Amino acid sequence: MFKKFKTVFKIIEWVAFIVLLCLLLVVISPKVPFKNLPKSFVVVSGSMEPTIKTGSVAFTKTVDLKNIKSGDIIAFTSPSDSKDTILHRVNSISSIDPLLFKTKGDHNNDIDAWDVPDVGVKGVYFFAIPYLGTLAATLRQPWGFAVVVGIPAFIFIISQILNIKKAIDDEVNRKVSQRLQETGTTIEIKPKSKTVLKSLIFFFLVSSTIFGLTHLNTAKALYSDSVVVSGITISTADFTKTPAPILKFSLNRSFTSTDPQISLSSDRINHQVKLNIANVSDEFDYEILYTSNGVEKGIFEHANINEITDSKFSKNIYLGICSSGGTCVPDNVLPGSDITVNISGSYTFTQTFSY
Amino acid sequence: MKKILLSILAIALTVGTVSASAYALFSDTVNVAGVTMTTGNADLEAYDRSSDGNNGYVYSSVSGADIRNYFNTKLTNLYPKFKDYTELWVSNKSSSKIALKPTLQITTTGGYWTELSNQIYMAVINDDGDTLKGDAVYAGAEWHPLSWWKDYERQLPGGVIYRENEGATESENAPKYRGYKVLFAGGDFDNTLKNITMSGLTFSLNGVQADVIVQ
Repeated sequence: MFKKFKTVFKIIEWVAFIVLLCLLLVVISPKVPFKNLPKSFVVVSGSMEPTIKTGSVAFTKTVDLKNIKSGDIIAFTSPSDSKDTILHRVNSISSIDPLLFKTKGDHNNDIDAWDVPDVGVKGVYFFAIPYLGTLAATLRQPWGFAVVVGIPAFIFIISQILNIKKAIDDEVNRKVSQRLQETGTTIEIKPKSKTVLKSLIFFFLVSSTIFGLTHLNTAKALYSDSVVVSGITISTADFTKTPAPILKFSLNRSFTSTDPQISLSSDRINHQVKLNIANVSDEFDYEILYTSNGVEKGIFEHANINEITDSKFSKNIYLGICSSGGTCVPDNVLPGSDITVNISGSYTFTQTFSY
Repeated sequence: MKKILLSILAIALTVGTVSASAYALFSDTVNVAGVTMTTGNADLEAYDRSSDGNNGYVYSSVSGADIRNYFNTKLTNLYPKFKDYTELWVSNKSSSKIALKPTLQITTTGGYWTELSNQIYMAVINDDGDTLKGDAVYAGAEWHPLSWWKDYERQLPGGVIYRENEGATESENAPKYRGYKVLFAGGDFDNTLKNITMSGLTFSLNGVQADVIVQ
């Protein structure tokens, strides 16, 4: 029974040894300065799930960039932050010369906004070990370090202290045995154990693997989402630098040379119109009517006698609202829309112009 | 004796390696970034905002088509030196504990793009509290021609957008909703550019996972 247990323990020991050795090769290989060796990255976010789970260690290999095709997963330097490495799938090749890739995270709704240049590509993904990155991340936490490294190291030290005690005992026993042999008494001397050497090799493997794990590079399978606003149209109006007043129609007007003559010029840049009225000698009221964003607006003012000079009245009228502090918000009066001027009081007539 | 020395050596190596590793990982003087894992998904949504009449606001989700209509009503019949703006509210509704870094890019163009893209200017300002009015909206805006917005993804002002339920209130620095004003202005172009249209423009507001992790 004890022999069977010993055999099983030996097998476990060997499996652990081989696994550790493989793990060590895997985590150390990216640090070896050879171009064609695989590179490894801890995947810290999940936009490539379910293909690459968050917390995996993903491995990439170097390939001829011309052989990268749509559907391949590539690791590349982030076009928006050169410190980051991103792991996304090639959605399409947007340009052959220069070679540019459009990428997308499997879990993202939209294609990444950037084009990845060929020089930014670090390798093509070929496999991932799930949870290994989580282990590496755990090792970087104080509690994780204590559990994964501290406690086993403590146990190892205790075992070595026990070994020293046992070795001292063995040494004493051997010395006693030698003495007894010299006196003719036959005593079996136990062969020297290789436990310490084996422990040292094991320790070297574990510590190297831990070192490799804690120094793995990270890659982000970056999450992103977009709000796309398509179909936007921007158009220009037919304008002139100094828009000429256009009389569209007039109501209740007689056109004799002695009647008041009204003209309106548009100053769209300053959101105002200039109202000019000739042949007036008395006070009157005037009203400017226009439309802003579908809402009818009006400005009603009184022309005093002291504003009339040489039978002419002239005033710039701002189409918008100004606060007492002097801040003005212009109305949105579209070029070409109607502006109606109503005059009342000493004179009565209406004319409509094009802004 | 050899066995005792080997054991002492093993103890010394263990203490040395564990101490050195702990120092390298946790010392303030050695910069080793921690690894934080994030799972879930990213979800950036656009919102229309209206006052609830009680010093607060009601947000309702809008589609890209709705935003297009806001833009289009403001961008017709433009003339030299015109100035106008439209508002855009966005929220980070990601299930993943991530903050999103907002960017904007014009991704497709059409019509008289070549003629107008360097004559029409655009700027985006962050105005979370919707406090800017009148000419103050345009003060300090960084204007760039539309062609500049097409070349690359441009980062929007105001920093990252935190997750909706993890940001602070609107008046604080980390709002649940980020409010932008998209400003447009005309250059001093002449009437040879009258009655022409840039059509089929696509504005892509993108939220990319930021380094800031919402714990």
